[in-house]
Amino acid sequence: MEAVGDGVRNRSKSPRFHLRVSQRWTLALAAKKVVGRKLGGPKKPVPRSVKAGLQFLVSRYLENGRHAQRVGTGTPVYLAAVLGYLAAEAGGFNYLPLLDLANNYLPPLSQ
Amino acid sequence: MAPKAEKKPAAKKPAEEEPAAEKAEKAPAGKKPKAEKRLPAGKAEKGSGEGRKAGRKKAKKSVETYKIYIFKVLKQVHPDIGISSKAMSIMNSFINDIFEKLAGESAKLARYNKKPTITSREIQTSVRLVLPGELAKHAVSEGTKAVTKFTSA
Repeated sequence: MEAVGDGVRNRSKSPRFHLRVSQRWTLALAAKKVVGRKLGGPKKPVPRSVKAGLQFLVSRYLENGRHAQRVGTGTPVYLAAVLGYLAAEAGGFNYLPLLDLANNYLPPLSQ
Repeated sequence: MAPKAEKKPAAKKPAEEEPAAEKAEKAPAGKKPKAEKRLPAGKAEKGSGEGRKAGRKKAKKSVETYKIYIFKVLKQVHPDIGISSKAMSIMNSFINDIFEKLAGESAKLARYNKKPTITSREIQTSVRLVLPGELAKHAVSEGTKAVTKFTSA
């Protein structure tokens, strides 16, 4: 009778343990997927020049405190675009007329 | 005894594997920004290094120039055309000059309006003031397009 009792106990316990193990694995896999997705997305740094589709470097030349105390986020992007455009124009054509015009041009007294 | 032996390995395996996976995931995340931050510095150094090596081999200091970016733009506009070193220096001086003009004008505008911030609006107005005619129009459209793409991305 003792042997029969042991046999019954073993048989009843083994399926429970198997189920628990499988549940643990499924939970672990799910957690990995979720964690992977979360970590992968926001933590991939992308350079701002690529974001804006520019060749010129979106840098912090303005942020040396020489021009203003604070600089907006769009400012270097805009400036990089303008400089890139001017480089393209001057590269495609002569730059001397541009310099002459820039020097001769006077901004209006009243904005 | 048999069920007890089965319990221990099952309990240990997931505990051991999870931290290893986390470590593996954390390490590349930590490494990536450093690697990407170094690249532009490397590029800048390469450009300046070439200029410096021709002249001097002592006291190398990192000098930032627009030469690599000017070259990129040239390849966009005329893929088959090159540029001489003197012409590149002239273009670099040109870009620096325009930058100073726009930055100075933006600083003035910010001061006149009693604001401590230079925003893209100040840059836009400076572009209209500094650049003549059609050049200003196209520059403004380029800048607006870039900012729009930047914010949407």
